[in-house]
Amino acid sequence: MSNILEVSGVSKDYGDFRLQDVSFSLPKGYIMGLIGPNGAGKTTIIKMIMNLVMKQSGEIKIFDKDHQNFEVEIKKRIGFVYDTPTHYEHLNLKQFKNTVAPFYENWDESTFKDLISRFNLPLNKKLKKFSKGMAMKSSIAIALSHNAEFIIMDEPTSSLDPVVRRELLDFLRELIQDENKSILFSSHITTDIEQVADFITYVHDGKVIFSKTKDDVFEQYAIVKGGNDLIDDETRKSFVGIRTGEYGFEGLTRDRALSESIFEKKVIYEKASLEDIMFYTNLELKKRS
Amino acid sequence: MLQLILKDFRANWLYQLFSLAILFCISMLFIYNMSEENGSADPELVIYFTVVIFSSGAVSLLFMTIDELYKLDELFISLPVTRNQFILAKYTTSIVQLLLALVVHFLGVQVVIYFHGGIGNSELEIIYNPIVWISIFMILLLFKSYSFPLYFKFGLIKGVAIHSLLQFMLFVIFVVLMVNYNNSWNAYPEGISWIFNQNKWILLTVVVAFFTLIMKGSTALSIRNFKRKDI
Repeated sequence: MSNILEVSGVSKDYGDFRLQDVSFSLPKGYIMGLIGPNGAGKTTIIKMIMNLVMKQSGEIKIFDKDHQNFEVEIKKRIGFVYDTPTHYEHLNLKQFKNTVAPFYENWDESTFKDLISRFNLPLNKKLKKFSKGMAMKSSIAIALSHNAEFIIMDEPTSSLDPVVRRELLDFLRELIQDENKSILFSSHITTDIEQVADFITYVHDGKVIFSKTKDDVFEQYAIVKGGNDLIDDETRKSFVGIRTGEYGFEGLTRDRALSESIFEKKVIYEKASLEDIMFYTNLELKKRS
Repeated sequence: MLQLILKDFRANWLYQLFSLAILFCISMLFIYNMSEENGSADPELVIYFTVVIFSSGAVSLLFMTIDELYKLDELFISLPVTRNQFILAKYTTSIVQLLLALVVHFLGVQVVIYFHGGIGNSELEIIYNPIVWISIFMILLLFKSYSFPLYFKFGLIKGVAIHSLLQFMLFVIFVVLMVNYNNSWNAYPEGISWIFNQNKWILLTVVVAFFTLIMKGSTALSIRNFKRKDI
């Protein structure tokens, strides 16, 4: 399985925030969701991959090539969507497309027209009159009309209503049917990632907490619920994070097998959602700091 | 890089046309007024050329201002271009805009003189001299050479603020020199006539070499500043 993206040991120090030794990779033909709370460093990582933010150390390879030395060659094969679509507001979509399209040798006008009609976007309406959803969809249409092999999207769903979000996620799933395409997208809306991602990279406070397949994540992590009498200093160590209340405890384990060997059938095991994982990890890291 | 240059004109041609039309009107009004007041002792020539310099300088930043307003730099940097190409394209479009602005100002002068007359007026004869316009272009290039690295280091708004301050100081120095060492506001500055008397080809070679070096240094500095910048 060849990797379309390899990020190894990347760091960046802003003084008040630090990305530390970020490493993960995305195999060709898959979708990776980059999750983490606001301010975790998702956008910084994406901007570093796009060479918009300069890394201080580490290596980023896209299509097996250094992302800075082969910048133009790589960017020709990438479709990039910003969290807040930027465009000339005085232009309409057709005029804006005419501004961007000449930058790509393999711009495909028929793909663009298909996407415009699929997303139901007006070509002659001024972009400043577009809703957030329309602006995001037009950004996606432009990013995907040059047969990009690797699509990078920063929070594409965060400003969309549930209907448009669902449409976009369905579209991403369809897109990945072509096994030559790969997608990296960040979101703090974990349900979106759960629906479409094959790989999940969780970033917290500038560090990668994990980067693994979605199946591995859901196999290994579990919510454990039981009576408070089962919790002592030793059993507590088996949890990523734990909450105790009057009627018992609820905790997140990252090793379900270990928990099963400790608590056997005295507790209830539930599938952990990505939101649970983010919540309990955050809880634990806050306690430690 | 060509696409980076063309996209500005393609997307903003209407703004460009409108701003040039304003410059045309400014020049026409100034020259009409000056031709009416034949031989006045007011420092109109200095005011006129100050207006030409500032308005042309402002118009040459139009595309950069629009890009800054809509935060388009990050969009265009994410397209298949390098930062070097991005900087060189910004310099090129700005210099083309500068040339257009000066040509339009000059056309404004021509229109008034053609329809209204005014040859024989000493002030207008100075304005009519192409060397004066080339000199203004050179002055504006000089301004650009130190202002652009500032824009790419501090951003357009902060860069313009620092540049304006420097430009104001230069203007004060110029006025002090004119008051103390020149006989009249409405004549060539003293040193200029010495320059005009030199061999034109040597002068041209020196000027072109000087400005090529200056602009090369400026672009190198801008690229260095911009390459380190997070967008």
